[in-house]
Amino acid sequence: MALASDKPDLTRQSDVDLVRLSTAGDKPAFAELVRRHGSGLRIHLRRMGAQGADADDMAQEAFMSAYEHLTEYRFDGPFTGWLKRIASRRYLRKVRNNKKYVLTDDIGAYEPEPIAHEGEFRAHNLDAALNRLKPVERLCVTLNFSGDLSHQDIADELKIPLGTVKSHIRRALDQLKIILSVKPAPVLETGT
Amino acid sequence: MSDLNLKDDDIGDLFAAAPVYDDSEVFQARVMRGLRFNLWLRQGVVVLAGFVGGLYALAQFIHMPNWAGGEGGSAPKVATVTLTKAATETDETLRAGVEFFDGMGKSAMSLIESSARYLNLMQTPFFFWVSFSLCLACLALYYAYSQEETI
Repeated sequence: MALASDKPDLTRQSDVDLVRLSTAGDKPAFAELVRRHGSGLRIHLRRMGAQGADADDMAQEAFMSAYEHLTEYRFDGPFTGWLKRIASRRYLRKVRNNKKYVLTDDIGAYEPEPIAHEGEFRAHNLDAALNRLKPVERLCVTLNFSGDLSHQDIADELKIPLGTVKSHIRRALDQLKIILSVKPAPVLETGT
Repeated sequence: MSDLNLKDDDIGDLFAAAPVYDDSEVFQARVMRGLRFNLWLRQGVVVLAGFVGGLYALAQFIHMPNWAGGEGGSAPKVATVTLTKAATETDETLRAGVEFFDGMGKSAMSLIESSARYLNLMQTPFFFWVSFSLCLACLALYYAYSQEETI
């Protein structure tokens, strides 16, 4: 007599177990992986510079591609890192085909949205801060911190010299620190 | 307002703390729908290819007796004659039925022959090499694509 349901609770399974189940054809297991990592992948693409609907489309394509290639996942790193690499490659391919200016260091090709007091701009949100960076710096720093790619990997993916990647990341980090470095003022409570 | 002293690790922590979207369930449903559609499309193509291939094989191996289809639209004429016979000779039901199906079979074969009057072409080395090259190109493209995706 079966006391409990034969189906395991997928929400309690590890990514590795879910990948194994998915490889064996268990669709609900893959659906659980999508639920678990969907938001992370979408935000990763947005942070790289993809626009809203475009980012979601690419995230969907990345999941579908991951499903097709699940047997190639070697369990040598977190599943989310593997997913992000697939999505990053898709985005970079699109950038190389359609928006080559993103990979240039020419600030003239990219105009950040104007703000009243440029020198005074501060953001308390990473995504808002990333919007203030040059596209190529944003790409490099996101691939490094969110995509877990090494500097060399980024240089290979973007086909730019290693030294350039390092300086982009350094500049991006310095900029982010400046932009994010202000703590919001505490709200003063007034007694009645 | 006071300045924070951010370090590289703090930036890393900010990247790691990704928010969860409200519509994550909708996104999940969308991905799974896409997967189902892909599977359905693939199965459909396989079934269609099997059907076309099977039809072609049938045309190659089954030879209809007294069949002279494909020349000057004689096949529809044969079908019409057979149908007329089947209708008029009502007392010979069995014969009419047999002739009717015989006629339908011939029409079908003629249709295959006329719609792809290229059965002869299909048996030439030219056709073989063209289709072989196309298959190779498809395989090469698929392989290149999968290598690009491989991490």
